[in-house]
Amino acid sequence: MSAANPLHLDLVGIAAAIARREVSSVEVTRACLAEAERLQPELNLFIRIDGEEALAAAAAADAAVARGDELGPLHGVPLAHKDMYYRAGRVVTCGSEIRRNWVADTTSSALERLSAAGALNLGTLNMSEFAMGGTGHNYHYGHCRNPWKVTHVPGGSSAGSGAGVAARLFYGALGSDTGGSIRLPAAFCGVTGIKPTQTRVSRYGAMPLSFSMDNVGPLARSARDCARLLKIIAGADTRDPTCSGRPVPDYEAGIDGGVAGLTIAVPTNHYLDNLHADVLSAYEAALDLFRRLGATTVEVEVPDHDLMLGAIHTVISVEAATYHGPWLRKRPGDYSQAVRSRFEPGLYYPATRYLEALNLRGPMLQAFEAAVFAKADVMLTPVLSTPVPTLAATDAHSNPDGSRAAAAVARNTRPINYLGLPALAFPGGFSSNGLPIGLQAVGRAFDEATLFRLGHAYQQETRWHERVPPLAAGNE
Amino acid sequence: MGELLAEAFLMACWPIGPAHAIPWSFDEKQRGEQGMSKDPLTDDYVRDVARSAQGVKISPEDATVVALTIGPFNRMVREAALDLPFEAEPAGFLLALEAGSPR
Repeated sequence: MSAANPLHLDLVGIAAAIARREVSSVEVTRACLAEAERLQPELNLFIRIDGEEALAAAAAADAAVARGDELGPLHGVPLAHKDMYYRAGRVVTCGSEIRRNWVADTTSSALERLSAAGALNLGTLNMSEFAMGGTGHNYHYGHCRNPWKVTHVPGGSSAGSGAGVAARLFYGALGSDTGGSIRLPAAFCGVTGIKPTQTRVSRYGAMPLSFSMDNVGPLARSARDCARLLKIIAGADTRDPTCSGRPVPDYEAGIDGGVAGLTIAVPTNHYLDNLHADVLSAYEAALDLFRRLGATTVEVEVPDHDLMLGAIHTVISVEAATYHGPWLRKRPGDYSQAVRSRFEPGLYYPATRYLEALNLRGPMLQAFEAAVFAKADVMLTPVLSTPVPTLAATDAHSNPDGSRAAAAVARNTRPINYLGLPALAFPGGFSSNGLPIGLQAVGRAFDEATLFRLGHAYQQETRWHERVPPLAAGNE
Repeated sequence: MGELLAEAFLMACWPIGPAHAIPWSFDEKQRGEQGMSKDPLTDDYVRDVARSAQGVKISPEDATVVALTIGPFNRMVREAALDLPFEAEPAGFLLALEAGSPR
């Protein structure tokens, strides 16, 4: 980590530096904006950059520091968010042609809570059209690119969130996760992201894709950064009746607890199928490290994941097609072919199949808990079984095999959405193609704290999360 | 695909069939009276189902793709659901989530 370059500090570090007046929010924001402008042609990760607004907010933040005001935990820290979080009076495209000029009339609860904590906003981030896609292709605003290698996908649908955190353009970002859309870009770009327990974070003012599976969550540079962000955005919200009223723990407080005494489940089926040698090597190295740190590992056989994948496909398809029904009928040509072809089949499922797929969730969760959490505290898996693919190999428009290849990336993430459990994705090394390998820790419901503790322990030993892409500032 | 078509056929009949006689099965003559294709295994049939059920224009080719796409998921979910208790409902999932995992 370069102490001289504030862009290389993590979110917790830059918040402390601003509060201690070691660096001003204006300096930091200027540096972020300069990098955003420099890298935008290469990475295409912003949909809109709100530079003047961010600088004005940074100046106000510095004035508050100078006055000695009480500061929030993100005071003066530049963030940016997936362009599906509504902000009143602002265009929110959702990565789509249909909403290219749509102006929101309300502000999402997650954005409000981040602002109340003192965070700044640099702009809106590129994403898969309507959050439907795991690679980061976007046929309306241009494909977002992976900062480690611009010929490769950044992962989606929160593509700009993952790519921008990795490229050190901002310190954290909101993503959303319906089938892996936080964990995939986190893994593909070498950053950390958490899909919280279903109902942990309010979804008010977040574009819906599938209300049974949607989750709001952060991506940032480390487990500790994500712990701070989740603490801020989680908790009851009268505007989202599905949001849990459980108290939100102070995730940072116990993050240094280590993994001694934890039991880590190693699945013998599904998650380790057909692993590329690079991924297997990284996965085994992680298990070895956790054992050295005092954890024990135990093999588990998880219940039928093909069924879970079938059921979640049914639920997402039907719910997404329901939301999009009017546009599918009136403006079908305004969707990309790739996304329309994913939405449309949802119109044709019998209602009984949809409800059966939802009804199976409870029994499947109980079967999974009995198989895994009766023996272990956490399950560890790779996020993706192969190295990160190229844009070309997963392009549904130009490559006949692209749709299948793109759909395959969510094989290890989608079941966790169906189960509603929390999962932390964090960098676990690099494959021979020079791109990051991501690991996924799955926890008990509402036990995000253990995931952060495990991720933090791993990151203190490996430091993979501090690696910076060659094109990032100070690393040219 | 046959099972899918049978389900889709029923689905399609609801909005266009006579309200007093829910058509649980059709012979060839009745299919004709309902304005449906004669052969339930042709692409034309799938197209008719899609158009009748949803009012969306869809080509026979697209309808076939849709049928092939959703067919396996339909079968998988239905077979698994056969083992569910009669009283199962989606809220059971949230209760299971809130109840937490064994420790």
